[in-house]
Amino acid sequence: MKITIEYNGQLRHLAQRESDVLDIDEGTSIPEAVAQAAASYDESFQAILFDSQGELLPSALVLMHDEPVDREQWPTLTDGDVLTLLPPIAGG
Amino acid sequence: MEPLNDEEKAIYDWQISVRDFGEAGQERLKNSTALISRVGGLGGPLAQELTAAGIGKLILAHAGDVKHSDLNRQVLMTYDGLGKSRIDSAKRRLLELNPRMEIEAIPENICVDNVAELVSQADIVFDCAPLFEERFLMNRECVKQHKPLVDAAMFSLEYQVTSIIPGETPCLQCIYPETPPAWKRKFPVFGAVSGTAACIAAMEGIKILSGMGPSLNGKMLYGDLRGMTMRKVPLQRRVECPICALI
Repeated sequence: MKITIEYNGQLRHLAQRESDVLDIDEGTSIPEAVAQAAASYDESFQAILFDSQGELLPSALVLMHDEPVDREQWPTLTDGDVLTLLPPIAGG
Repeated sequence: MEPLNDEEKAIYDWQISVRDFGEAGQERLKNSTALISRVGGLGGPLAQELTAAGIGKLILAHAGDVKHSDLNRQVLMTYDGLGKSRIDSAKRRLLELNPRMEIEAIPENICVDNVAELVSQADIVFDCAPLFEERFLMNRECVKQHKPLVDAAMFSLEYQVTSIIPGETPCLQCIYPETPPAWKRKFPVFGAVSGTAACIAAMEGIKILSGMGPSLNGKMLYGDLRGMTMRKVPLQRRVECPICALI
């Protein structure tokens, strides 16, 4: 199935694009899908999203269809879903 | 509360007519004090908008001298001010616009040693610092002293603004529990983007101070000037937040 992952902030800057469409397997979790997308980019991109243990950082906000996802109970991904990644920004 | 004089009524005539603001809102603004952390690309135009709108007092905190690389966005700094104090330039420019107001210009950035005292003097705090450590300090102190905090930030063509009302909304460390490890001090910026964020943050502060509402409480406004889109993202309090969970 296909989902879209939208990038913002530093992620968009490093990816040089607004989004990717991913082909994922049924049952892929949101952190797994984000990791699959991040694997196409370099370490600086991955460091915005994941800690050294590979855990999705809490400071990277994840929206699904414009609503924040519940990290205690990640929702199941279905075909056509749109995830938005909002990494922390502090430019002043 | 000190009333408006005739000159002030003339100067603010066009905004006093805004619905739900009125003379009462203008009086509240006149009798308010705002702390702005840094007056660069974001805090500078924010201070300018609050000054133009008639706030009574600004406390500005920003260290350092004007550099060439400031001048693409820091609208309170000028070419002839290169190598001179940023905070002096900011104060001078703002008083040219509104000589009736009071400005306390602190030539330091917000730090552990000054944050409690500076926050205690303000009715509202605007967070425009380029480092999360500084933002977290102001968040912690605002929560402790129950002061509203307007947090504004930008990166490249994107910006975000939210209001933190202690005890009612998520605080900054509900949103970002830890210092984001990959954030870098140098970031791509157009002055028009930091200025957009500044104007939104200024309006948010004016609404909170004057009571004209509604403000963003509990939502983050995220704007993208590449795609020309805006979205409001609902934020959630974290029950285990070490900063605000107990209030």
